[in-house]
Amino acid sequence: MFPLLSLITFLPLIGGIVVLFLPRERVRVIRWTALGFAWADLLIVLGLALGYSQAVPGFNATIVGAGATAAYYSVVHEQVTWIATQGFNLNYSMDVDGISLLLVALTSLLTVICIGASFRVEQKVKNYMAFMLLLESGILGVFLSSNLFLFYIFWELMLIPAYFLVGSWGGEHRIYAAIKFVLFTSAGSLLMLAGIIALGYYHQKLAGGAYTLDIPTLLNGKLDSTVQMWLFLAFAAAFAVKVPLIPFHSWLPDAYSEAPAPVTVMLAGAMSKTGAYGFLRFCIPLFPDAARTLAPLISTLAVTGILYCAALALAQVDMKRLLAYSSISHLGIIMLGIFAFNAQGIEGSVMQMVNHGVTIAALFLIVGYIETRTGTRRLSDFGGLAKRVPVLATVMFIAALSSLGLPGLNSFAGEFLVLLGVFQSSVIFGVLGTAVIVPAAWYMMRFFQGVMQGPRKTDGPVAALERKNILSDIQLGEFLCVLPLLFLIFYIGFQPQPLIFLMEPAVVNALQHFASALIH
Amino acid sequence: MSFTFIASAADWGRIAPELVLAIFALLILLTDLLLPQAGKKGMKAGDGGNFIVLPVLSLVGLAGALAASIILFNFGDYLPAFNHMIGSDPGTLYAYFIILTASALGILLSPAYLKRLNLLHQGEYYALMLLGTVGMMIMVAATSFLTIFLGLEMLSLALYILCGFVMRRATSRESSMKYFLLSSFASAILLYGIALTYGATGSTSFAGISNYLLHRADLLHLLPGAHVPAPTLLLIGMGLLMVGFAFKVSAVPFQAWTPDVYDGAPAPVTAFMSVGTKAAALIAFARVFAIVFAPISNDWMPVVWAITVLTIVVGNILALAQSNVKRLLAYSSIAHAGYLLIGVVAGGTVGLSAILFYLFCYAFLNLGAFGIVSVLERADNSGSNLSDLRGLWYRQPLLAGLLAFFMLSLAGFPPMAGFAAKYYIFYAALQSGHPELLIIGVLASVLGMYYYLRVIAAMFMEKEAAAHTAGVATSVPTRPAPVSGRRVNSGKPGNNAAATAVAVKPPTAPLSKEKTSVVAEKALERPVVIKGWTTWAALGITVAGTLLMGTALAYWLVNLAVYAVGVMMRVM
Repeated sequence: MFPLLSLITFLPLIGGIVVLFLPRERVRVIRWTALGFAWADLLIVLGLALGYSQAVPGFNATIVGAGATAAYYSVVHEQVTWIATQGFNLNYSMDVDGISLLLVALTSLLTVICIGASFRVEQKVKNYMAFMLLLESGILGVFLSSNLFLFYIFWELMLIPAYFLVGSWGGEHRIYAAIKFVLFTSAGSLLMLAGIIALGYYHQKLAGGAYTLDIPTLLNGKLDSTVQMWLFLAFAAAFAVKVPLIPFHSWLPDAYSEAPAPVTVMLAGAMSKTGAYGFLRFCIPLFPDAARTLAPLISTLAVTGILYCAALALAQVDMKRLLAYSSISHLGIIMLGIFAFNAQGIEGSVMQMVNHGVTIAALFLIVGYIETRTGTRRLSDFGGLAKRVPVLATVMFIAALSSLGLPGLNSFAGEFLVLLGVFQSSVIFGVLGTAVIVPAAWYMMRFFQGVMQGPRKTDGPVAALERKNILSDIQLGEFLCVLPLLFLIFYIGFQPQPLIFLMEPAVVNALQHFASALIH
Repeated sequence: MSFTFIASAADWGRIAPELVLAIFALLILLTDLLLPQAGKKGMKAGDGGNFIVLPVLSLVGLAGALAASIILFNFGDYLPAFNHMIGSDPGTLYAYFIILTASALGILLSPAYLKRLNLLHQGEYYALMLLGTVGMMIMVAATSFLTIFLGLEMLSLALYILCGFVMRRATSRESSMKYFLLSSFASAILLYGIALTYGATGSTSFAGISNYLLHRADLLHLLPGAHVPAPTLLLIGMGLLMVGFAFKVSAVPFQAWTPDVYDGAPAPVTAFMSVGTKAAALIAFARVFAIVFAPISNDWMPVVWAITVLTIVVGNILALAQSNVKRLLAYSSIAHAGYLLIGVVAGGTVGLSAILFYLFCYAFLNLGAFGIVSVLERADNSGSNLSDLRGLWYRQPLLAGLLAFFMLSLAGFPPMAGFAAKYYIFYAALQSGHPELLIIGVLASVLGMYYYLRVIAAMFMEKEAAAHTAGVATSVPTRPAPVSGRRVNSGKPGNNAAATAVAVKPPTAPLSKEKTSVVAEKALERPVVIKGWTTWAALGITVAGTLLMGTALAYWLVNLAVYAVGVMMRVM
């Protein structure tokens, strides 16, 4: 069988290596080669999505694992035995289902956009593009691998390019931000590593046979609840940092605000989804009892994050930090949906992962555009810019409206589903989660109005630029970068059904597995 | 006990790897006499005849030893030789592979380094490298305490001299002296431990001691399996042995010598000894405690456990504060010794094979990292400060990239070898019922991330300050003035002291400030480049090894280690 998933995962990596071997002075060639690889990957992913959508209605796809309890509902399944000895059994296996397919599509789309938006980078272009493609490879691998060992490799692989991208091309405090980011993340992921080692060991002890980390096999074991609890916490440590949940979030504003805009887009749009995906794909199916026991805790953290970070976003003076806190707040809603344990909640969460990726990408790109024009991100430097840059203002307005959840735009569909699901499982969390709509609208409008409307500034860097009349509106290349995002904002807003169609079998499957794993 | 033992031909065959190496060490000394003496001043960079013959000869010797080990591994009878003095079991042979790898890579790194530092006495250098290797091999092969001591002294004596090989450099002399004093003290303690153990058990051979420990109950006419406390004499002996071994593996609290010795010694020697000595001492440690003293593990386990935890935690914490890559790697090697000791605590086939596999991976990682340091190092031992590395990526992308690669693999990022090694040793901890070591190890690795990544941050993220170079004329005192080895060289050992004095109090500098700054500028201008095909080969092998051991070869090697340890525990 053709290794389609491996191709999707490793094509960017190959692209990165190819880029590294291009001559340093040929900057244009480097840029277009990188973009070409990103595009090729996106096209393959779209082809896969098309094939997947053809396969879904007949339900004739392979269900990986034993019986109907498997959480994987996969069309394309790849498995190569990597190491097989009597004591140790390790497979290279990749799977895709509706949930991961959507996130893979999101990631590859965002990579194309980010590489396009990075054409401005002048310094060390070659390494920049190589790291960008490597980052894509890592994130795609996380979404596609169905073996924990492989998953961990990709999980860490994603960290290295992110570290370099933030630290080498970022702003003034980039080193501090990059090291903080890596330390938080690797503290979490090393705990997960301990969890992975232990999970394989306990599973081997329980089920006998070889030491294996294949997720379909692991799903069939029923660990006792104490072990589940510890392992859940170990895994959750990694995912909670990546999401981030509230006490583990302090790396995020620094990393997001110091990274160059396209990198921030990758971090916020694609990488933060790996955390939520991890909870959905690993924590809950592997440790269902612990997940149920700890759900109130996680939901409390999520709700706290939603409200607290919305409040923090209100107080920010830096546009990127404002968006960073809004991002934490939105991801809280996603987490709330996942831990509602019902179809609406999870479907809404997955949809919201896509939506948030689209919206936050557009917003960060726009902030990047503004920053390259004015050299500042302080809200107080801006005012009344819309007259000068009407198209940019319109784009920003659409993205801001999408972020605050205006009906008819993408986020509304997702948030509505999530809150519907949450109300079914717990009214309190539902009420508290819904309450965020007020501060969300507030900080988004403060963000938009502060920059684009209101009185013009008479002094400061922006005013100086305005006087010199060199404040240009959005350029064609820049517009082309946000165009697909705008399209998706409207399209998903009007027509969310295709997303649900793609993810539904996977979600139903996961819930069935969860229900059956609980009863014993 | 019979004292009429006659060595047979098979006995000599079982120690063939050591024999080959020892013979080649002597050959090197002879060849060195035959080579044309260049004299003190005749050596110019570029006339390299002298710099090729001897390393190639020693590499041939190592290849011969490796071939002998492989033949023994496949066709040997695995029996101990010379009346249970020295073993030839697969575990031992696996350890030979590690030590020979470390030695070969160290020797590959040497020619360019020696040439750059203008060190002419190569005959001694390579002969001592090989003899040190032989010592390490004897130590890991030992199946008797006397042989362990023999190997230990042999490797130590060679390393004392090698550490001080850059004679005109004060730090190198200090390194040698410090290592000599502290290490001989530790050797004495070990010897005392051996004596007491002999007194308690009546034997110096592992088989004899093991036999005594297993049949103590019978000897005392107790029921088999009844709990018999170990004799106090043996407990004291074990304690002293532990001190001796812990010193050699640089475990906390016996680690204080490590940073100074590693820092002052020539970088290729540091590279070699950091892996070789560690491998030799750890495998001997593991063999003595996890196999021979296994029946009384309750008595020593808490102490080794404490040493392990201390070494992991303290090693990592102390490394945080380092600003010199060489010292940082020294502390990181302490931390890695801690991870390795997990294998001793875990014990059994899994624990010991985890040690072997970890050491094999570590040989590639650490020699790679020290290989880069050896390229960076200047004659006066500067050049590997974080401030020197600042912005290295913009000047030397390849060098920076390679160092970053090794730092990441030492930090344990997949898919490099460091990750596979850690994975397996943590698995061993869990499997032997020590989840706490897994947690401690994992959390301490987070600290490791910090200091490894800080090196990368310095190279990749801090811009090379233009003022830094421009201000040299005025800011020489901010660090020891780099003295170019070619210009101001041997015969005047005061030179360095003078340069350091400049650094401390510029007004009373005995050297004219002008001259110093000219030299300093020269040294700064000199591009740090990877020179010589041997260095390239060493770096290529380490990179390939690091990648392959983490991915394709990892499980094959783990299996091999499990097999080797299995046989080793059986035949001991």
